[in-house]
Amino acid sequence: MTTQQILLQYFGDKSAKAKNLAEGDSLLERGLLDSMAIVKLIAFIEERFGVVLGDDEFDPDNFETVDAIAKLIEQKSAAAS
Amino acid sequence: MDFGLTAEQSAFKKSVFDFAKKELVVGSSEPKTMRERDKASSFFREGFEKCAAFGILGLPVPERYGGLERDVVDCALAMQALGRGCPDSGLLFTICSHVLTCEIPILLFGSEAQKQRYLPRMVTGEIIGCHAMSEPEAGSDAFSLTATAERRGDHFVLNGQKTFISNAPVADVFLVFATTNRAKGWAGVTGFLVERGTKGLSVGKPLDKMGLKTSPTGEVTLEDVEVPVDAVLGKVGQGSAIFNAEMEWERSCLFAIHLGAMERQLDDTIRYAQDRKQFGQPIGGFQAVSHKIADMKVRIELAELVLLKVAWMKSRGVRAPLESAISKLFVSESFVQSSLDAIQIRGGYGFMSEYEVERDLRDAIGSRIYSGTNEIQKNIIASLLGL
Repeated sequence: MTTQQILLQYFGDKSAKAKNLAEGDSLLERGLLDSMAIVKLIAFIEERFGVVLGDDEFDPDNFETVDAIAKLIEQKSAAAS
Repeated sequence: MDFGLTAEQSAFKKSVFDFAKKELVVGSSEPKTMRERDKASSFFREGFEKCAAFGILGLPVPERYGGLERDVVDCALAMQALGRGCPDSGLLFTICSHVLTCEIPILLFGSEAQKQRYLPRMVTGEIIGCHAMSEPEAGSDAFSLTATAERRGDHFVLNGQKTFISNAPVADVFLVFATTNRAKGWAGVTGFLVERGTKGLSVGKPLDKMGLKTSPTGEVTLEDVEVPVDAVLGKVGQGSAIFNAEMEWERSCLFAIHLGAMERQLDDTIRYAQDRKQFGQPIGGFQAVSHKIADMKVRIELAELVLLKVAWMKSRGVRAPLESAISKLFVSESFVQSSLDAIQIRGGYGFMSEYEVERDLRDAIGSRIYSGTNEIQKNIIASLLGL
């Protein structure tokens, strides 16, 4: 599975609001990321992808869409390797 | 796995405790004693300045800004030692607000210019910081705040009302949270560094509280406060990130002062139970008393484990949202219960202000509320368990 597919599955498992979610859809506008949901999402990302996100990467721009999150994860993974 | 402190950590902790016992109990000017300061709701500025001189205000700050550059574990150990040696929990609360909710955000998210401008003077105590998040209608639901920040050219205009702001009456720099886009909810929240004296920023009279009376708390009003774009801390929309990062620091290091206070309570209570005689023997010989003291010790042991675990995780760069929520919840509930036990063991003496036992209970109640109520901590824990 690609990073995007894993994330789409994550959101689909969490909420019915994620039905037909596309990689470029705004997660905020779809009501999928409130302040608690993002804490859970970060915990999931760190565990699933083995990356550690810095405090300054906890930025709304990085979590706007599934594509944006995937890009962040891939950048972190590349930097780590 | 190693549960022990290093020799260096133990020596550092002891030096902080000795300093607190010697310098932070009685002041040189009126009101001198803790009881007098509590009664007058008087901020112990002399103690604050002594803490600055000792290095407490710069514990986590890099040496290049004048700090001691200690890691989170050392910071927690220092706060624990202060709590044990210094009975003025209000003073320590003010210090924690200054360090954990103003210095730390600047350290983690500030530009180099912001760090240079504020950190050296905050470390020396020349200026005091505060953190303005809570609003009359935005408490536990912090990110529903209504204070606004409107971009106009090269500056922002802030409007809104903040309440329950620790240090506000004595603060020189205010970390103000406002929304730049309400439709975005948490993603629109932005932090701004606003200096006292900025036109439109006003601070109300100190609020009268149940406990922590020596820590000044007030309201902050923002009326068309103009700040330059470079007053934004981090990036626009990064306020929630700032808030979450500092909360993990706060839920470990701030609550370490309460852990220290529980240790002080235990020391005093054991001594009391050994000295106080009823029915011809020390009351510590009665299980009704000794079991309470045993419970106090158990709480301290477990509180220390969970709190230092959070500090240890953070010192390794590991996020600790679940552990910090558990720690905050457990330490605060333990502090309340141990304060009740300390009073009950002393009977009528415990109930009298003169014996300075009841003050800990008044201080402890607040710990259930600030840094996110304990109900919110349970929500966080449950949520992170997938519920």
